[in-house]
Amino acid sequence: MANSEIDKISSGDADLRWQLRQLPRELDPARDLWPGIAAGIHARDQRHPRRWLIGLAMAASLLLTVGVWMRAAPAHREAAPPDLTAQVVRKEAHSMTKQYQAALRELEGAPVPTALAPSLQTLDQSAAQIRQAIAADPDSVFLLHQLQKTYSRRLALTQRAIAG
Amino acid sequence: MLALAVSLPSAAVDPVPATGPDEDHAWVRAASLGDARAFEALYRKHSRRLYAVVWRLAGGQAARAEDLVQEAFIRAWQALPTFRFESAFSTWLHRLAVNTALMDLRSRSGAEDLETDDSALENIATRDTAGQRARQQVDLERAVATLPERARAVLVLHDIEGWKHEEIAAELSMAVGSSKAQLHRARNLLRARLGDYRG
Repeated sequence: MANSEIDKISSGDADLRWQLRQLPRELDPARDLWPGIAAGIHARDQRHPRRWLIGLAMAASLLLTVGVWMRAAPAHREAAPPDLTAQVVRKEAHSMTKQYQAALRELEGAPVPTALAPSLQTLDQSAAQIRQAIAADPDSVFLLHQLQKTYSRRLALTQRAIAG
Repeated sequence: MLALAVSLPSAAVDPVPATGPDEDHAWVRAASLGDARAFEALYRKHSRRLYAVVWRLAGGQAARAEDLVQEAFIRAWQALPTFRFESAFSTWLHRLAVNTALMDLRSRSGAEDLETDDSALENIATRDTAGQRARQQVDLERAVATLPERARAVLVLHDIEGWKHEEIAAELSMAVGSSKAQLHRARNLLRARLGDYRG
């Protein structure tokens, strides 16, 4: 049958489509599906741990705290030791890098598709450059944020590759 | 900070005043960092919509549809770190659920169709006590459920969900022409079956 014939919408088709569009867009399952989902995600997370996410989340919270402090309390900032921000950024960058390396070790040995290798390499290079930039500009909260985002993306990509 | 840790609380999710994509994105960000409460909020908001499409794709088999929706949400949890916030989360989730149901459909190709479960139909029947429209909807749902699986999938996605043939063809790994032919077949079968029910 030619496509033009199939495409042709008769009045019967239009009526049928109208009826189909009136069907409810939402339906209730007979039971709450959440307990099964919660058990399922817990089981899969045990097979593919996300502990690194928690560490990075903590780092992100700290970044937020530092950022808010810098914006909201300039008077305090002036009163604080001039290198306090640099100390916090350096310490967090170091801690974040250790957490990241520990997370990578957990995923070590799992096969990663060759198609993803260039992306992973690029992210590794970015992370190295950001660490160098932090060494040169140690009070940059922005750079610390970028480092956290790069580590997150690198780990998410690795986990995605492993999870298939 | 500990609230971001992976946890599976059974407590109800806090009510959230705002609705819409921004609210979803906030929950998605938290859930992608392991916050199961945020993910539960996404489940509470979207599960009924997902269940409707999956239930229809599964031919009205409630138990199968429930398993598929659960599997779709578990896959979503795993895939959350890859969500790029460039589209609505609801669209992304909907696609993922449809993909999950169609994968199941492909894996069951050739398997005997099971009986339609009428529990969801009963819900529709009680939705409108005036009766006439509700009865028509029950007839229509039952007729859709009895269609052959691929024809049903095309009809559900095109005529109910509003997908384009190109999208359906890609998802079902078929030619666009095949999708159109399946739709034509599905509508003819549907009209015939409705005639039987209502005749």
